Amino acid sequence: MTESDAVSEVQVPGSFEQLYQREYPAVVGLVYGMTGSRWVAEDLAQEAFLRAHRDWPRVGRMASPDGWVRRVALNLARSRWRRLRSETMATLRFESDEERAKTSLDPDVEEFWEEVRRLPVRQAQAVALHYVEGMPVAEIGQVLGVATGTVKALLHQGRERLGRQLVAKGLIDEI
Amino acid sequence: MRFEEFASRAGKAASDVGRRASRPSFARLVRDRHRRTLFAGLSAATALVVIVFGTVVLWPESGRVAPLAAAGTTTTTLAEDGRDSCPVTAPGNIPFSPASEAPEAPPALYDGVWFGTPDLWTMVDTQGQIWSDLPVGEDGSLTQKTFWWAEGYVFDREPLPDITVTAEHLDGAAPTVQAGGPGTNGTHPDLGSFMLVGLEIPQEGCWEVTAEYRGASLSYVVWVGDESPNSRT
Repeated sequence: MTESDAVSEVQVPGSFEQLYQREYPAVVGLVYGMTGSRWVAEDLAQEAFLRAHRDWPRVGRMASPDGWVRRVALNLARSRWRRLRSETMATLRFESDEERAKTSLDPDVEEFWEEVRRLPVRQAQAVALHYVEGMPVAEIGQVLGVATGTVKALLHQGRERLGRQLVAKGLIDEI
Repeated sequence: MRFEEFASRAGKAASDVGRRASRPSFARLVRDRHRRTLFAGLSAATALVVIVFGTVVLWPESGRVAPLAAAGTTTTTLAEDGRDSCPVTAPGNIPFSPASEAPEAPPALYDGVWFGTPDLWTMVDTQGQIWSDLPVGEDGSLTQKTFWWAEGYVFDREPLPDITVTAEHLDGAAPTVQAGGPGTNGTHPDLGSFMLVGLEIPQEGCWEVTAEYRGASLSYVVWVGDESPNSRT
């Protein structure tokens, strides 16, 4: 069997392909905020979609398969074991100057995300979903599996903590 | 600049990283991931044979063929299938001893040691963390109670501790399990005050369990199944 034959053997339902094409960039961006590494973000996003594909008969019937993928990706980002493995694989890749430039963020923005990653995990996830994707409170609740009221509390607490740190660092004037 | 403006700018920047990311065709992604898994498993197996046994293969000379080094069994690899490749957490050489009122070590009948830090610790099996013969719920899930301790935690002062426990399926596609938030409390003369969180694991396999309590986080890897991993050297 040739390589192209092997690739063509993979069954990819049309509905899954649409999800992958539509949501992949957003999931990478979301995980990037949570990990600070483009390579880790791509690896974990791909892992989340691979899991969705493996379980597509079930995931595809959910009200929000994209929400499920995000939940898996966020949980993978929490796993130190997973992050270590992704970082290990990333060191084997050759990163060109052009590729490095793609993920050079403004230092102030980098500081913002470093502070987000210091938040309690749930607060960090709610903040990332809201500011990376502009996701409304109800939808954040579906992704995280918590009530709307809980999301509001998480966002409020996250903003307060973040705001204090950013003011202290002189990155913003006021919360 | 105000917070909302700054946060929105930061969010857009992260989003742009995602938009610029290369997106492989999904079929190729499946193929490449399978290759990577095989490569990782082979690399780990090769490294283990060389390191653990420390042998060198002598190339044939004058018609004589030297015996190859005996192949050892691999223990933990990054391959995604099989209990043999599950990196179950085993106690370190120096078990953690809490300084609080908690017992210095778990009672002998549990065959476990303390694992963690004063901010959050639990008990792990001395032979490596394995959950077998778990009760099965009505929906087929495997149920397990997890116990957690923390300096300063007293069961009657905090009956519903704000502890969450997540279980992630490391070698399969089962969805991540989350429980707690809050947990419940418990006390026992041999165990002191502890927090209790019940988990419903959807299927057997290799799982990473992570608890979070008051900013502290603790993880361990457990094999959920009826039989022990074959090798845990």
